[in-house]
Amino acid sequence: MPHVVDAEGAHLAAILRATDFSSKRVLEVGCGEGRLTFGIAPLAASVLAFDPSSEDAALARAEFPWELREKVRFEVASAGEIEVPPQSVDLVFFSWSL
Amino acid sequence: MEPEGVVDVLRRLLAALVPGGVVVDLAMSPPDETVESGGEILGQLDGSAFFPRALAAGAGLDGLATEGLLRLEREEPVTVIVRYPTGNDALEDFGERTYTRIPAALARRLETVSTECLLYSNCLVRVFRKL
Repeated sequence: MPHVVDAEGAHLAAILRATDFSSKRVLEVGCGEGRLTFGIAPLAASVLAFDPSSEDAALARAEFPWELREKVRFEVASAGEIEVPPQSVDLVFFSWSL
Repeated sequence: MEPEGVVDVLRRLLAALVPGGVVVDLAMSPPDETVESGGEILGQLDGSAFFPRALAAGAGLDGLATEGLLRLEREEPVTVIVRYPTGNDALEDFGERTYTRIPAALARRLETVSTECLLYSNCLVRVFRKL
């Protein structure tokens, strides 16, 4: 049977308390299945989310809410493989990814 | 990622940030994760192979702060709970992990638990500002 990670939403609540994601261009490193991406995306201007697992990235793409898809992109890459233009994002978010 | 590669990666990702941009680091932190069922602690996962790498990543950010490239603005410990329907469900998930090990005694106990198991993970959220 499936398990439930952070059913209480402690991770998302903590990162939203920690900083303001509103209207930010976010680079997420280690998005997994998009559990936290789902919570950040409604606030952010855009989210470019990377994970080294192609399975997890595919799952995130498949399950992401349709109305948010225009501003979120899931890509497959490890932290060391990510290539992003200089000064192109407002916020970098690492989740267990280094 | 091996500790020696962390700082290079951080430097490259920092270059992607605008001046004044924010780095949010959510990392698992010691002590080891605790498994509980019905209010009873069953044991702890062994994170001894993982925590040195996690701490190295945090040290990498600290190093960039020392260099004057980042400033630490906020730090908050967070406890996260993972809920498993049974002990065997927990065992299955732990078995798929590459970053922690299951002590044999804990595995034996989990095999006998047919009720919900909770895993308590300690995390740290840190926020840095690019200078």
